[in-house]
Amino acid sequence: MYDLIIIGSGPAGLSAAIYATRYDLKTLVLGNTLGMITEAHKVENWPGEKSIHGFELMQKFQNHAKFLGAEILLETVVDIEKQDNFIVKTENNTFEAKSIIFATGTQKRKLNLENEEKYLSRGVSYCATCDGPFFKGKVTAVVGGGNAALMAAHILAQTSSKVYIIYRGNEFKAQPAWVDKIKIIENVEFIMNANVTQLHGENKLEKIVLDTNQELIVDGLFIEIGSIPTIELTKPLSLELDGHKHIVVKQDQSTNIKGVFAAGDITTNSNMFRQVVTAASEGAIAANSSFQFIRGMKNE
Amino acid sequence: MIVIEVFTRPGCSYCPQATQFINNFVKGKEIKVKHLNTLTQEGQLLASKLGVMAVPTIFVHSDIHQQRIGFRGKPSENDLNKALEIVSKPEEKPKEKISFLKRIFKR
Repeated sequence: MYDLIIIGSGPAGLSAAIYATRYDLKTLVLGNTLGMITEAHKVENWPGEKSIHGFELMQKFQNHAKFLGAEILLETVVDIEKQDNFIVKTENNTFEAKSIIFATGTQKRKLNLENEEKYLSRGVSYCATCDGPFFKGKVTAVVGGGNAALMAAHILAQTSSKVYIIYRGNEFKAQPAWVDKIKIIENVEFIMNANVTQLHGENKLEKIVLDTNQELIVDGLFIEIGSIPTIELTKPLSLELDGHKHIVVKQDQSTNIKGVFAAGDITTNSNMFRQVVTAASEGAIAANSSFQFIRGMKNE
Repeated sequence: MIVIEVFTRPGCSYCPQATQFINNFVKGKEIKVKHLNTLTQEGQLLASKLGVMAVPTIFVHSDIHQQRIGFRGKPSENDLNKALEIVSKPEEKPKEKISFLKRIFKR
């Protein structure tokens, strides 16, 4: 039996693990990725690191948590049940814990176009870091106007012959630092106030159509239009969600269910800022609250 | 010999789980696993030859079955077993076309 099971091994989950192990809690982290931040080819706002690849940063988080004694398993949680304690089932194992921290983060939002699924891995991608190099010398397009979209365009511009950035607004919402970087790249073209409406191609993506009636011949389309919370596992415990499906948490990261805490991009806290630094902060607070909860159980 | 090729790349968040899944799946089985990092020349060449456009991508094939069965992302254990079943059987050779005259005259 574990004191604490943390579901999710991104910045929030691993930060929670670091704090929990230092509180001497027997801690298990279950997750299938190191979080979406691993796809960021540059993180330039994590204190102490001027510029670091997201994957490298998360490996440091993971090594730190392991060094302190956290057990980390690359397993997908499929169910959670509340009995006297919490029963957490993965594809292959069942675990028990006194307390739970949800740090399941978010997943990429889709355009929900008719052929989006058909062209997935055949030109449509949600990860420029992973799939960008397959489009060396080819024409690509990025949909979106936030940090992730401009970062994707920055990566693609290094290998693609041309990169379009298609954004529905007339001004990027990304941080000015990213906008400045993109503006000076010669093979990047902005198409503002436009939306992709159709995808075409025989066996792979060949052409996209915009609502401005423009047709673009492209080999790759990278969709970076934000993310949605990963909430499937909140259902068995009936966790309270807000209108945008984020887990409602109090200042101490507690949820409406006793012994269950949540941290990171999936919660309503940190002014929805969605940064590594805020996720890590929420993870630390959640671990502290879980520790208080377990200590209270022992004192009862 | 059955071969499983696993195309991955550093920085791909779903690649470590796919790699671990394949490593666990082949334990105790006579299957050769080739891990191909698409940052290396070998990985790039084969990815380009097979038309891989995303990672993780997994292929299953064998020396008695030419067809490669591919999976985008991590496959289910069931689907992977089905693929193994297919590639472990010799491929059926297409029937030789016999002309009408040959069929009639048996020569």
